[in-house]
Amino acid sequence: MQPSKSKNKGTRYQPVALYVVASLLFCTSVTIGISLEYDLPWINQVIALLPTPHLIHWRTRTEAWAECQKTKKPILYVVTGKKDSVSMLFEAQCMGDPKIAELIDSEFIPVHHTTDVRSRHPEKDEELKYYRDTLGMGYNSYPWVFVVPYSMHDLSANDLTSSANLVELGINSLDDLCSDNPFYPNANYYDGGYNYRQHYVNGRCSGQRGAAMSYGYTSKADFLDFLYGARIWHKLPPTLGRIKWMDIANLDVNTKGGKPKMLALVSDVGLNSDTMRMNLFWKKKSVELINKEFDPYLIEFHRLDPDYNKKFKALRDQYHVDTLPALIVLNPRTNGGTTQVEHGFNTMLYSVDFLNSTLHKKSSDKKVDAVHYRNGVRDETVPLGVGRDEND
Amino acid sequence: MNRAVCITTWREFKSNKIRLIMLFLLFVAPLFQYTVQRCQSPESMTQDLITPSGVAIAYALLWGAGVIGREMQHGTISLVLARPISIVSYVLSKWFAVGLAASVCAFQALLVEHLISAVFCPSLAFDPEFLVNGAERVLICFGTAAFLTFLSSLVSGLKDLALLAGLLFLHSISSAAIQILEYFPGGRSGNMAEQAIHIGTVFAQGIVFVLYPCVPVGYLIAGNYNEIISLLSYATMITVFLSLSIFVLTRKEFSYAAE
Repeated sequence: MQPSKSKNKGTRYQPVALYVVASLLFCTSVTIGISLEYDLPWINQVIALLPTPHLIHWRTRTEAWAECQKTKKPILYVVTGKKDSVSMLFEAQCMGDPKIAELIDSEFIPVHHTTDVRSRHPEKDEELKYYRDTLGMGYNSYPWVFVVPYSMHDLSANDLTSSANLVELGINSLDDLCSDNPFYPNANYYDGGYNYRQHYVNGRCSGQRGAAMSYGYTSKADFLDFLYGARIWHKLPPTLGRIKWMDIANLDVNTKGGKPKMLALVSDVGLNSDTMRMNLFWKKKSVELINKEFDPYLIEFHRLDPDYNKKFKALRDQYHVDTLPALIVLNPRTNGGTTQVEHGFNTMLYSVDFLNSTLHKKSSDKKVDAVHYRNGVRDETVPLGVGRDEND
Repeated sequence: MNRAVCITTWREFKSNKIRLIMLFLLFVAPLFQYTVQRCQSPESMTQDLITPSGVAIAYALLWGAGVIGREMQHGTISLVLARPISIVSYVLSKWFAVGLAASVCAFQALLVEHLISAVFCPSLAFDPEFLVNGAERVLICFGTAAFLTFLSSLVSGLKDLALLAGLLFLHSISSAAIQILEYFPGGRSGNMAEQAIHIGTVFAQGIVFVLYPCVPVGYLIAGNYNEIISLLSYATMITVFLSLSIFVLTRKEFSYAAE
């Protein structure tokens, strides 16, 4: 029998070709790894050659501020990480999607900033500093998306993420809103609000979002959901609650022997005013007290409507209100007829205590212009002649 | 690739009761966890509750621990190599057998988890996330199998698990050292410290990729070509570990029932 002419390989033969390929791949991978770590220019040039679609017309922050006053569109800030894998996926799936790009371009003024997440000197990035200091961007929260309505671009993150519109907050149960549990105040901001969501990928949390802000990324559908909500953010009026507000035209009518007048001075935006609306105007305890014992008047401050604010300004100057929101009680029958003012809003219970105190008769009360309270405590800093007399 | 070696590897696994029990638990545990989650949170009903692709490492570990080392320990490797099988073919067959078996188990578990999610929310049935997870699992299984084949060729028995634990320990130490250098007062300012941080980071990233050889398939499908780099790293890992495994075994003397 003829032996086979095929080349038999021994048990211990060495696969040279495999070794060569492995060596080449190893050298390439190590070179790329070191180049990425040292941020060498050549690797960035190679990465830039790889196709990444840019369909959105991005603006700078200054351009966006100028443009939003003309177009009245909200600004959409998008901050992504340069070496962050989630940001890269977000850019590929969302920023590269023609439909999402069209939606962003038509409904928002988009501003994009890319930052090096592995930079050892993040403090040198001025843009990032602005987003962190002013808009409350967290650390290592990429991609980070934040919507700012055109009328609010000079406000802080707390005010921007707050709302007092029940639809914007996604509230669907008024029973919870009216609940009197003092330990669970009605939240009106993104991270405790009703629209608060957590992103989940395969059962693990990979980010969070409210109606105004989103960080992390899961899917295109989830981001679209956020964009649709962000379009209407702060476009709807804030809640008036369950209080039976009187017509402001009757404010100057003297109702002798009637109920005391309670004036609520609130802004149409801002965390503190929103908190008062969501709590004092909704909670069972405060609503019942106000509707039963007072003639309530709501005086709103509209940021973009100077004509509307004439009445508000007159009252603010008359009662020396320096903080919004504020409660003013005019009760001619008690406290010697002294006007009582509560500046700011702390909790529903503080305000209820304040309102109750204005109803009590005190025989020793002397007539002064006004008594001022702040956070439920008598404010002694208000100068004489404004709300205090010398013997008070 | 040798069919007989592959089949022997699978049969050997079947005869090991402890591994079978662990495989069963690995399959059942996520199902139990997601059932509890569905009972507690109604929102979970509309989510595709599937385990992250990283779980495939556990399947690969179950199939691949001691894949060559046990044959060295029992002395059967010398009998196998007495037949007309080259070490190259033997190593590749072992790697393929472990990778394929682990992939099948991992994908099967994923399929069951996905089907249960689809029963509660039929619109999830065609969610591409499921297929992406499946593809990642297969890649992880073959990647981890290559690494385990290499570890197993170094030592006999299940000592490769000790090597793996040692590598994890090394990774913890190197990560801690980088953190100390980064946050130690004045640590970043020194040139030596800066260089040490860079080298340490490259080293730590290398270990991470070896321990978790995940290629983000979803990113690549989405058109994010930057992730081609991770595909390159994956190819490197497979070829390098298989080459090393072959190189080590060709230089070893095998005697019957050496240990």
